[in-house]
Amino acid sequence: MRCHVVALLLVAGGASWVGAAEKGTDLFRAGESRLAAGDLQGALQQFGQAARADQSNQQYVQQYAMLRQVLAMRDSLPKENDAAQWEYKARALHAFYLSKGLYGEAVKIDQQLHAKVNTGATALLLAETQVAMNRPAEAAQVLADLAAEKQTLATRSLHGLALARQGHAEEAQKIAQAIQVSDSDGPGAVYAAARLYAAIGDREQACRLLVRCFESASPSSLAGFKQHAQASPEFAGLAGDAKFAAALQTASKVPESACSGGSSCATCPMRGKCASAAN
Amino acid sequence: MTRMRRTVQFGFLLLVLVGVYVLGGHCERWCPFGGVEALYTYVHEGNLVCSLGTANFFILGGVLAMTLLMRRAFCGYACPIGTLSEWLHAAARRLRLPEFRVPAWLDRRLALLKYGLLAVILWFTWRTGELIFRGFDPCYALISRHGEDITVWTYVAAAAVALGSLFLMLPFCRWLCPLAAVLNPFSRFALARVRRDPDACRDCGVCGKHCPVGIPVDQVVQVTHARCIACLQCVASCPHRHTRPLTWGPPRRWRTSWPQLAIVLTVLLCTSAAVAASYLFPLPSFIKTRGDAPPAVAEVQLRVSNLACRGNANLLCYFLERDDMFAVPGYLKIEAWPGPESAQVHVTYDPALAGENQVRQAIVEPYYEVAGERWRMSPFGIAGYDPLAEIPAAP
Repeated sequence: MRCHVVALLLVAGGASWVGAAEKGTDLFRAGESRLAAGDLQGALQQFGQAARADQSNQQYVQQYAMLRQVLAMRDSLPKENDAAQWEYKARALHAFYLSKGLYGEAVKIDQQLHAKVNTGATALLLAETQVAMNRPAEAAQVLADLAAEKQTLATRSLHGLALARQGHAEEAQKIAQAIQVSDSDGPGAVYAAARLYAAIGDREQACRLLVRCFESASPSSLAGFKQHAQASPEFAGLAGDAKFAAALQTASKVPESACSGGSSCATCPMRGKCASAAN
Repeated sequence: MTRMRRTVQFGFLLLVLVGVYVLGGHCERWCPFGGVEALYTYVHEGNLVCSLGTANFFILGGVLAMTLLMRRAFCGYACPIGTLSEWLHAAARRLRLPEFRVPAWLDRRLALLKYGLLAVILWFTWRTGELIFRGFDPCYALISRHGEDITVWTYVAAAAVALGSLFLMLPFCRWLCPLAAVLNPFSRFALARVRRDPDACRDCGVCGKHCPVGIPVDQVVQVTHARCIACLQCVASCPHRHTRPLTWGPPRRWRTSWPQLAIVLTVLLCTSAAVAASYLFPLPSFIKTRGDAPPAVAEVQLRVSNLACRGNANLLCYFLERDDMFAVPGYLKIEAWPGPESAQVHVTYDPALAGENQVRQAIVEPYYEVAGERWRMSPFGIAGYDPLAEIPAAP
């Protein structure tokens, strides 16, 4: 009799745990759908309820907390008087919108940001969003208007890419021939150059730069680059290419600790200042 | 006498081997030399060298106390490398392998090597924050389970020590051990010593020949040599010991002598007291201070989840030092005791500029990192703090 009661309790406990997890998943998915539709407030409610339903899933709390912050930033942005804080919030909003595919929201922020700050970096943010929205003519215009001293490898590469997307192959070729990738260029700029070469059909150079980008990207940002490369239309033509497949297998050569999203503490530059062992 | 010491040596060796290979313990945390290596970084940066813990300081303190009382009894009774080296030497004698005795003048010069080695190790360890010696440490070959950072040189060093021990008495302990170099200044002024009664001694010289560290016991009245490991081989080997020409105890004016059991008890007491103290009085293994302290400060004590190592403590600082809407202005001091389940964290702040809740929010809220152009999620949770507080429960 006692065994039966214990078994029943265990089954009930297990069922309620599975139920909570399922309920959490459903609520979270509903939140993601609302977010994709641009209903941020509704998504916040769903994420909060998902986190309440399944408290063991940290992702729900994290997504809820991030969205809550994004909403607070969005509401306070028009009233923000501090220029540095305004730029910080605008950049944070851009990163959030772009990561969630909310290009319409992102482009509005990017236009405000570029109008206010007007640097190569802000032009790049705006043009990147426009390219993602398949509006390459607008992106090309933004980058063409950029003063020469504000241009960088990334802006020039994206300009060439935007031209290639419009079918201006010769102009894109000219830009590709003119750009020079130096050792000091970061993985983002090298990636932009790789995209340009892929867009003009220079597979060899595109794959070579892709490998260089992946090697110089930190382990925690590598997956993002690879995902983008796999989804990017410029690299779609390289899908069956062995060199492209090999490039996608490239590992990061940047040391980064596990706690920062890297592979392990053994390669962490801070290793000597902390420890891998729990005390 | 020999049997009692061998039993204690066997006990400590077994403890290490069971701790490492059966229980999967992190033995480096209990190495007294680790305390020496970690000291500078801890005092200057409030952080520890990789893989070491605050337990290393307690065990170092225990060994120093043991040394001040009973000379280098740690080397003679507890050190696993000393034990294995000595046993290999004894086994080689049984196998009738040749034994080489180093002349006293050469022994004295070779003994200086360990001071140079200690200086090199400490210089590089303190400068880089890395355990430089680890890759050449014969003890690490024994306790690491072929772990992180181990190199072929670790095994080469271990093999060299083993090979040397077959033909020479305690070559590593006498000439190369950096811990011996640390203990020697303390051992020089230790309370207990072997005392020779010149009236009862027949000057046969047997005691001097049996000393494993080459002390000319037969030529001195008191053995105050720093390198004495309190093994009492000299006392045990004396052919006239019934007349007690050699005794162990405090300076002669105290008019008393101690049995070998006193050494064993001191070794056990100091070791167990150090272990107990490391648990009873835990020091924070991570301390970070930022800015100057204001006249009045407040402290909030938190129980933080997912703070399992000092690397995570650095990440906690990263979140606390954020510059967005959840920034905590004012003086900050973080003391953390990282642990596998959850960690104790004390955060000191300026109450005129921030509140307790701001500290909690700074730790758990996501943060947009401008340099990386990405949102970073906090892996931490705080007991008693609900980030969803204002959200209604799911229907």
